[in-house]
Amino acid sequence: MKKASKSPKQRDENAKNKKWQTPMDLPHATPSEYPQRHEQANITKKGK
Amino acid sequence: MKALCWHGKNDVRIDTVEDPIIESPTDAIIRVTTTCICGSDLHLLDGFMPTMKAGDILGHECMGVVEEVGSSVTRLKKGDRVVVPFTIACGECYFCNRGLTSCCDRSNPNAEKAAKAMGHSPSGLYGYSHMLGGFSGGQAEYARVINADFNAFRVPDEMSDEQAVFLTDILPTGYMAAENAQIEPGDTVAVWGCGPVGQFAIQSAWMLGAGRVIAIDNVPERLNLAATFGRAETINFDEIHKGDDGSNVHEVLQEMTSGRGPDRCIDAVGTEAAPHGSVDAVIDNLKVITKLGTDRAHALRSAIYSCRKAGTVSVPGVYAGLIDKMPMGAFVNKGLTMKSGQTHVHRYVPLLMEKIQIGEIDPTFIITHRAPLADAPDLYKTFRDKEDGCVKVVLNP
Repeated sequence: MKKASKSPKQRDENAKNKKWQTPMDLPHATPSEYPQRHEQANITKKGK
Repeated sequence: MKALCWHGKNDVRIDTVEDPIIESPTDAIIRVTTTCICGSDLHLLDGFMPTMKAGDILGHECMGVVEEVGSSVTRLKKGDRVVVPFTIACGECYFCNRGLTSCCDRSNPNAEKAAKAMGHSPSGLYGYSHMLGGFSGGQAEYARVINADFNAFRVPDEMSDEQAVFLTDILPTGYMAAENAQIEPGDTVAVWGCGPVGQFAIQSAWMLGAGRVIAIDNVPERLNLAATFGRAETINFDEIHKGDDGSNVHEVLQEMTSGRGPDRCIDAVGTEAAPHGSVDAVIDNLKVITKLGTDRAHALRSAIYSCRKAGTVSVPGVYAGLIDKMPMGAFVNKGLTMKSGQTHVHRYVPLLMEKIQIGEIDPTFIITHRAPLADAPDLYKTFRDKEDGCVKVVLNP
C-alpha cells in the first residue's frame, strides 16, 4: 500500500487527484420540483 | 389516542394510550398535525439513552392546532397553529433570561437524576428519557405543551406545516451549530454528517458567511443532497478508505486547504459514528457492544484532528456519556475552541421563521418520506438503516 505523504509537495501533488466531489451545478429548483430534483441527484431510491 | 411508544431497544410500536390532559393551568393541549422522526430519536431506538421506560411516547419535533388551554394561558387560544420547541423552558430563570433556554433550571422535574450524571441538569425535553423529565412526546395524535405561553410559537397562516415543523429542532440546531462555529467571512467550514442537522448546518454556514463548505459522509444520496441543495464539496469517506494510497479524510481535507485545515469544523454525527473505517472507530464499536463504553466518537476526534490551528469545533451531535481517546493534545496545542449544547430553540425561532418567510431558506428540501403515524415503526428502521434514500421522515397523525 502506498502511504499518503504529509510533505507539502506530495500533498499538493495528491490534491491534483481530487478525491472529493465538487458541488452539483443544477439550476434552482422550486419546492414543487424537489421530488424531481431528489431523483436527479439519486437521493431517493424508492422500492429498494 | 394513537401514539408511537418505546418498548425497548429496536422496539417501537403504535399503541392506544390515554389522551393528554391539562395538568397545570399553564398547559395547552394541541392536536398534532405534523411530527417528525429525528436522528436523535434513533439513539433511543438503538438503546443509547438511559432512563427510558416501556410505554414512553417518543417525538420532540411536532406542531399542531391548539385544542385546549389551561386557565393561566394568555397568549394562546383554541385554534392557533403552533410549533413546539423540543427544549422545555420556564422563561424566567437565570438561563432563560440569557436566552439559554436549553439550560433552563426549572423545567426538568428529574433534575437531580440528570445532575448526578452531568454535574447539572439541562432543560426538560419532550419524549427523551426520564432523566430529562419523562415528558410525553409529540409522535401522537395529541400532545401536552408545558408552560405553553413560552413554549409554543404561533405559525403564520401562509406558512405550511412542512415549512414550519423543522423550527422545533433541526433547523435551529443546524443554525446554532454554524453560529457556534464562529464563522468569519470566507471561512472554509467542514461538516461531518449529512443527515438533517448536517444539511441545515451547511445551509446556515453559507448564511453566516462561509466561503467554502465541505460535507463528509458515506451515504451517497446524503452527499448528493449536500452537493445539490447545499452547494457543498463532498468527501465520501468509504471511497477514500477504499483507495490504495493510505489516504484518509484528514489527508483529503489538508489537500483541499493547502495543508491549513478547515477553519471551522462541525460534528453533526454525535454518538453513533460509523463503526468502521479507522482503528478508533472499531475500538469504540467493540466497547459499546460490550458495554465498556457509551459513545462512538470518531467524528469528533476527526474534527479536532483536522481543524486548522486556532479554529473552532462545533458539536451539535448528541453524545450520551463518556468518551476516551480524546485528542486533547491536539486540541490544546492547536489552540482550538469547542462549542456545543442542546439547542436554545426559543432564541432562534423568530429569526428562522422570518428567513423562511422571505425565502432565504426553504427547509422542505430535506423531506424524503411522508407517511401516516401508523407507518412510524417501520420508518424508524428505514431511517436508522439509511434505506430507501431516507433523509427525513414527516408524519401526519
